Amino acid sequence: MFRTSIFFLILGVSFFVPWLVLIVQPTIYLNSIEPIPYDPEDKTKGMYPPPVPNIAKQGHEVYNQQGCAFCHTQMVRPTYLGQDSYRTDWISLDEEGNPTATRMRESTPYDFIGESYAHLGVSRFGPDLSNVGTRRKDRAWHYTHLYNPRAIHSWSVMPGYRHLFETRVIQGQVSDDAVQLPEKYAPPEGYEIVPTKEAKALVGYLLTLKKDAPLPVELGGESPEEEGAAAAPAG
Amino acid sequence: MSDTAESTDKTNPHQTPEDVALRASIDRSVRLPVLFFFSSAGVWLIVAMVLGFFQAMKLQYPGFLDYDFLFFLNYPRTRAAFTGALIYGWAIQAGLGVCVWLMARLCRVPLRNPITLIIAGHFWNAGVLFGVLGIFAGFGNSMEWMEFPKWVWPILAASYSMIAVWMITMFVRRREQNVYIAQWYILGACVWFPWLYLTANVFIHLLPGAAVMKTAVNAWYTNGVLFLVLGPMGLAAAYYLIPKILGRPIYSYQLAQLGFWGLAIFGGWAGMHKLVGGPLPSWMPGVGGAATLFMLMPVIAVAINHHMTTRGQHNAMSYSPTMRFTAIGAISYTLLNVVAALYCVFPIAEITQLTLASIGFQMLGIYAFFSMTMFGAIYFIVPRVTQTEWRSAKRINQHFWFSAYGTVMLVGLMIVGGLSQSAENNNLDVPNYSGVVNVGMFYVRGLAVTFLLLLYANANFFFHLVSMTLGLGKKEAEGPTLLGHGAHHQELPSHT
Repeated sequence: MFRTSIFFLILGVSFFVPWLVLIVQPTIYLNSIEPIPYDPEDKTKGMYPPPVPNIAKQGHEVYNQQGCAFCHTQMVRPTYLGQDSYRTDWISLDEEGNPTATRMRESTPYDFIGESYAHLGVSRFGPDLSNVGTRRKDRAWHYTHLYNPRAIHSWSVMPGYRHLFETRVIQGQVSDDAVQLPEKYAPPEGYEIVPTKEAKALVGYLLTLKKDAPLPVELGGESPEEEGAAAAPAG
Repeated sequence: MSDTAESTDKTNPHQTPEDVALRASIDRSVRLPVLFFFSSAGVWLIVAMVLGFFQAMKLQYPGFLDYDFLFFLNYPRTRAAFTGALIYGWAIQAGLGVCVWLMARLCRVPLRNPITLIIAGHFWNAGVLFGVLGIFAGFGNSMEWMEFPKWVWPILAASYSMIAVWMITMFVRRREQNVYIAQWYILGACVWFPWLYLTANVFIHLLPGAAVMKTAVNAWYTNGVLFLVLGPMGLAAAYYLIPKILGRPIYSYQLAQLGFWGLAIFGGWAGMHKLVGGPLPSWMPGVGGAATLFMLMPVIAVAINHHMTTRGQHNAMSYSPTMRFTAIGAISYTLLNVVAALYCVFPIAEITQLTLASIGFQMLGIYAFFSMTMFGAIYFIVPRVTQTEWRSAKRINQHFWFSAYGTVMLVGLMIVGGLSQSAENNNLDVPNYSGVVNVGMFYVRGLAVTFLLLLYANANFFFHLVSMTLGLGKKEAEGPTLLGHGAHHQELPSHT
């Protein structure tokens, strides 16, 4: 005999339990994670992760709305899931442009503090962007690349985001942030291409992306006393 | 269209003249909402196929139609619009149409007031339309299966809930004492979708929370839509149609129960395994992977049940359009779950995650399993509610073969492409990402061709459906439209 109330009761309970354990509880738990100081005694050594500037928050929304995450990931997987962490084209570079370590650490939940959604990505048609802010520090490079990716990499299949830029008559001097393009793609004489607010915000966000900062001791990072350890974070 | 040698047992209480009249009156009463859902789903299917072609073209040739005024046709937006149109426009809507008809038939209650369904259906379509236009206008999201702008979800949640409440009410007021397994699955889909959809949108868009947790909720949601919404809708159709066409009961009621409760108990735990290796507490993907493996038990129960029900009657596939599509869908369901389980194993997760292979998996679920099952159900239902027969066996045949080859190509290309991409991703000799891009685009080229095949297949389906909706079907007296040598088979009028 079929009992409607019993049926719905079992159906409800069997879904409520995973909902509680897998969605509600971790939401409460992960809500409580906060940036950790590298050295609790000496706050000048900074926090992990560093605070997110306002422009990056706006840029994150542009990143979300423009659909960047359909092709780009922000997820460096541990070594048991492939060679992500050894890819030399994804790793952080230091001031001289040398890799900061032989291997990147995998991403942690802390790397995404301050963002409204972690765009880990879906499938990779472009490189991982976890550390793009240190690989490409030049704002002008990003503007050129966003405006026409093939002006930089002939093999790129990234769409040009020309709608985030404005072509206008040069008034007086060329603007500081006018897009630098090779002759083939350059605007007509007397015109310049300048980024809109969205493009500026997006590039502002990309420049903050440095998700392989060394971990503090609490999260398994090496203690600051061990000299040179900061440059080679443990995973 | 009764493409069946249905049970003609005179002792069957469901074959009395009163009973036949009741079924015909039920079919007439749900005609409007069911045809509304099917034809608008058909429109979205065509839209999705066109967008699917565009996204594949724009992905490999960003220069394709790259005019300034067409900036909104870039890959991310066409892809998001494609997914939205395919899942919310076509899949869920077709599923709702099938579920409404099944529910009315199985409860043996003619529908008195179709207006609630029609209104809810209009709101649903408006929601999808706003969503797709919103994506093109640049208000979309980079969240899988939640690409619609943030303000669209209340419309979709409210209209689905109206339809779900309608179906539950009908079930509570049923006249039939027997409760069929198809009804269990429909009730499951009625409860699970609003719960999943509200949770996903409230936790991601409204509540504050850690960024990674929102991504985890999204992974749980997409998996839930596939296995707890589209899954039950498709299985409800298969559980109804296979025995109906073969004219024999389901092999085992116990196995059917096991299959349902297994899904209900494990389904809610699965999903986050997609983020294995991601920045989450590792027990979360772990639980998801374990649940996906456990889900194989109910899936095997369903597969055995369907197999034993059809045993010795496989030739029904040669003449019955419904049986052909449904059987392919049912086999794909088993395959989908096996692939899902394989994707949870570390060495395989490594080479499938974050590649085209994840798209291949979704297409296996949405097209090979769900859409094929829905086509089967629509070929069965429409002649009954319109009291006419399909106009052309040739069109159905073309729809089937182009869909079948198209699906195999779609899933095959994406999975093989994903494996090659990940081989390139692990190749550290290339100092930039050109290797992964080049190898990926090779397969995306095939994807564009595949969407043209599927567009042709579904255009056949769509125009056929429209002509039936407009009352241009064949007269019943000419007998049901069967494929191949179907004329030799026993035929029953479509009010059965």
